[in-house]
Amino acid sequence: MNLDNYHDLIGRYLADEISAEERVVLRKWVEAQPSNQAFFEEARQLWQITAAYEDEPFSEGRQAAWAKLQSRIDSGSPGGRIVPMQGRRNWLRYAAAVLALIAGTWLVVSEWGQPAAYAEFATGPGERSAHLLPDGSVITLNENSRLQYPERFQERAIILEGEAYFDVARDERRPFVIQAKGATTTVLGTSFNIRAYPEEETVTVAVASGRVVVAGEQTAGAPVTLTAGESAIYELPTQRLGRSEVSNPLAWKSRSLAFEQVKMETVAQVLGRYYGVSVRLADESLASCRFVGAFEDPTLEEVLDAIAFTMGVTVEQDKDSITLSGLGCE
Amino acid sequence: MPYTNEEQVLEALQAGDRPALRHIFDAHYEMVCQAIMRLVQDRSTSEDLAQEVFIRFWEKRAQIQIKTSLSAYLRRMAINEGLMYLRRQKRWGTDELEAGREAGAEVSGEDVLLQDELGQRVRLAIQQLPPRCRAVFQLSRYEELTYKEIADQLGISVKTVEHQMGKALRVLKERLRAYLHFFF
Repeated sequence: MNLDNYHDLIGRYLADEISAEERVVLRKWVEAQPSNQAFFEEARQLWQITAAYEDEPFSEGRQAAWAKLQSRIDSGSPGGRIVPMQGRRNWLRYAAAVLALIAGTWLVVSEWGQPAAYAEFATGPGERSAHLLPDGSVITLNENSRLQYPERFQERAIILEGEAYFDVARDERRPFVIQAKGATTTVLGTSFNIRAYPEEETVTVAVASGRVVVAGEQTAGAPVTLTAGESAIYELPTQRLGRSEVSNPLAWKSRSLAFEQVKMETVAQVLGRYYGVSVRLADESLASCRFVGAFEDPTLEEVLDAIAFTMGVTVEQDKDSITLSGLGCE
Repeated sequence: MPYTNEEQVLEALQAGDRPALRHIFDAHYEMVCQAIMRLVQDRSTSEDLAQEVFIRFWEKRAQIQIKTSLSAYLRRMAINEGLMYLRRQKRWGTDELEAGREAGAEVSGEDVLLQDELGQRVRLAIQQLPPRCRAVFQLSRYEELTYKEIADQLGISVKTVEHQMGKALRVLKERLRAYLHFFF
């Protein structure tokens, strides 16, 4: 194959038309030489930047267009204009053409059937929702999150913004791929959590069962493979991807918190995430103290009381921030 | 109009409610125009064809069955409208080579990478593709049609769609090279 053939193949890859066998061929070719990799990456980046394509907006003419549409509907005539006598014949011809056109379009619409659109689910503040995808996977969305996937779902590919828990139906032949803020997570069938809120600088993937592969952008280095109980964090500013311990990643879903000898700085982070508040430790010495406690569907106050009691700290709470102060544990 | 969901709007529309049409028109006019514009590349033609889309949408309101979303449905209507116009213009059969050469505005860029500038450059580069090549690329990239659907719509073979896509990638890579980073 010459390079042009590879453009065709890469085009198929980008357009989601590639077969499993061709995908292998393409991957082998890309991995064979750095120059091939560069060739491929250029095409991929090109595909990405073409998302920026847009035309000047039409919104300015919308009012006028609506007025025109209304008058056309009212007059019941295509064009909505007064038809001059000598134009009658043309008008009839035009009307006939429009009718033929309507019939034509109708055929096309019904022939195509389901448009290749993206389905979208979104949650607002305080909302959670579970969704069954066409392949049988179940996705639970945390609040302020959005999920998009192609209706046809031939390729199991989805886009996540925010946080979601995935219970992916097993299908060895069709990997399930999640794009979230530059982090790509690939699985065959398993359950795991992804947190990728736009306002945060990290993407966190935590696995509950099975095996998951997480990759960042090209510059992020090698993909990370995670198994049950493991987590990885992708830092967007540095594009660094690595394994990391994440405490209570599934708390939002299980509505429970469990701390087994967990450092207070981590506890503060977890509470901040779970309750959407800012939890600050006033004293440096408190950060490395370890806390033990387990809670089922707790209120913030319950957890803070327990911490205050066992750690001997003082809790100050104002509107959206909480300060814990104390002498530390030594 | 305080509609809480799409079904309500549709129900009202199907009952012949003009405000429901207004609601839909306001929400989707821009998208319909943009989808047509990508294909026909002419603003006033796009506006005219958008009128046809909404007229037909209104006239056919009783038969409309939305399986995905109103937006996807209207988008599909818009694409059909644009394609039909192009077919009437017989733009596909024309010489592949001519259009690609017109407009000397080369996309080169030591320029600062501004988001809207990138948008302009991308548009310019795509506009300069030969007509058929451009239509193939746009239908795949923006309207997410399959190769088979594109082939059927344009009356060409799937293989040709594939080659046109490869060609679009090759040409666009050249024209937009300045915006591809990290690799040479």
